[in-house]
Amino acid sequence: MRYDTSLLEKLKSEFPDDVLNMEATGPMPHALIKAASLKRIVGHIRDDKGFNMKYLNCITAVHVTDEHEGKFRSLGFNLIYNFTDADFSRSISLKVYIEDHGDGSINNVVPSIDIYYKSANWFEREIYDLMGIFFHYSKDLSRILLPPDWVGHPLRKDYSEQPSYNDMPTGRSDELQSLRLV
Amino acid sequence: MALIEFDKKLHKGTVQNRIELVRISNEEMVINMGPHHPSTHGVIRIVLRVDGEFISQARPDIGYLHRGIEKIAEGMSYHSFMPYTDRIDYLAAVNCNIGYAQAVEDLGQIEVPERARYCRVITAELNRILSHFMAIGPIATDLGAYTPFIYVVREREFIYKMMEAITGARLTYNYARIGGVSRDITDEILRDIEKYLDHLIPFMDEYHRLIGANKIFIERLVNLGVISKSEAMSHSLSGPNLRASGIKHDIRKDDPYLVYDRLNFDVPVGTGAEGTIGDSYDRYLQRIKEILESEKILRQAISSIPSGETLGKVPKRLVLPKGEIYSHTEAPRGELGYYIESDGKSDRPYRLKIRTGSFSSMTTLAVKIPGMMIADAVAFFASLDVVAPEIDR
Repeated sequence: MRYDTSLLEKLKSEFPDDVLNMEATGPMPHALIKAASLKRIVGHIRDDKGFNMKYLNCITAVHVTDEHEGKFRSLGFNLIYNFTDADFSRSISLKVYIEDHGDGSINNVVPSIDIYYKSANWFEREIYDLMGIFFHYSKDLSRILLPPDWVGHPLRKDYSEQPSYNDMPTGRSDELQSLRLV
Repeated sequence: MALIEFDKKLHKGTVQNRIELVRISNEEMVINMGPHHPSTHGVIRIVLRVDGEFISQARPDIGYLHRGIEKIAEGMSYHSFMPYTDRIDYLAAVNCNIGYAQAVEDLGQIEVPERARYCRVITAELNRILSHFMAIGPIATDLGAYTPFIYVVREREFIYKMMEAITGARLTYNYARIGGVSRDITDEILRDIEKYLDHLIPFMDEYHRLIGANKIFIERLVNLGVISKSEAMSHSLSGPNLRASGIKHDIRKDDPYLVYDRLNFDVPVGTGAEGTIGDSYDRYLQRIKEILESEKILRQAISSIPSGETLGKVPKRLVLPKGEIYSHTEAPRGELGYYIESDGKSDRPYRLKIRTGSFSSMTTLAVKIPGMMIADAVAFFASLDVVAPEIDR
């Protein structure tokens, strides 16, 4: 990915209040932005000729946790958006952090960008399915990989599987154990 | 009764679409295409709302091959995860291997020896030929012509024998290692590959005359499922699908990795040879052209491969520095991107995300299929060349 750190600085100068932080070093330089301004910034970088980010590479979600004495404490989620421009010469990466308020609910403030990119809807559906992050004003947010009546969001670090799904046990069966003639 | 249930806990502004059976017009019917279907390339289900043969609404339903590879990766070391990457796209296994190895090596600043890079390029291009064969064969089969598929299967056997000599396996190779490749390619095998390439070009000509120049084949594929340039960008298409729509983008040229910057090859684009740019015939022709380009790359790589090591020194317990990377390579089905985040302490990834070309290709279905007849939808779907494990992971 041809990351261009001058693009990050340009973004910071054009949106001084919305870009919280700029991480220009490392293998993936990115800009940390406020969740509420995501739609505005994405619309700008898609349409503005200085950015021209017409290609959405990927949307990724990471569950940020803190491990303390073997127990996971969920802190929040990082959403990483990777874009490339129309000539495929430069890339930019945006990161959004959503806090988890500890009572099982997330402060869902992330808007969907599916009005800008037609592929965004499926990326967001996958994130909703596996991580449980809602996207506001999405034109279609439903589970995509897992069955629609699945409970839970598997990619979370604190996920534990339901014991059975539609009367099918999800763990290993103890049949061998029961056959032991002791 | 609704076909697809929805999660009760909606959040503001979001909708969840479903296809309703209630209040449907008398002529319309909701039918399933898949998941057991000879023409869906793997277990993919598309719920179609049809009026006779004409489709008015299509909704793909995926997830039948979801194995939770990304979650599995969080519990395994970087070295141990390599065989899982084979199964992301089993038709182009080496490309998936080297994509993953490259992401880990870029994050960990691990050097790969020169000979190992050439070995990776040679096996990757052989796999690309294999994979494109498996794309152009089933296009013909889905239209009812079974012979081209048999031709293609016979050709794949030749390449299977060479890959078995190199890696030991026929389909899922587990060839790349972090820091190099697992086995060296001997000179004898390189001569065998060159002999096969001499046979490949006349075969491609014969294959194209057999089916590609056939009037019925052309009539069925031209002007079908035309994806324009802006649509292709918006749908995040990649690989041959993107190039067939007229966009000259190849990661091997635009963001070179391994030794592709030293090799001479063209990037063919769709020209609307028999119809419109970006129709299904262009996508078929694109794969034929790319096989010819792969032949050029292979010849150059074989003639200029240096001697040396094939595996660098990498610790058995590999801990990557804290950070994240998104690294992409050009797999036969599109951009294969690996996002790896490491927490700097453990020898396992904290998060591994795999971005595949087939997943974004599937987003075109719901947009393009309505309006087609079922047989045309099958042909369009075949031209997109998706595989189920890439979509579901």
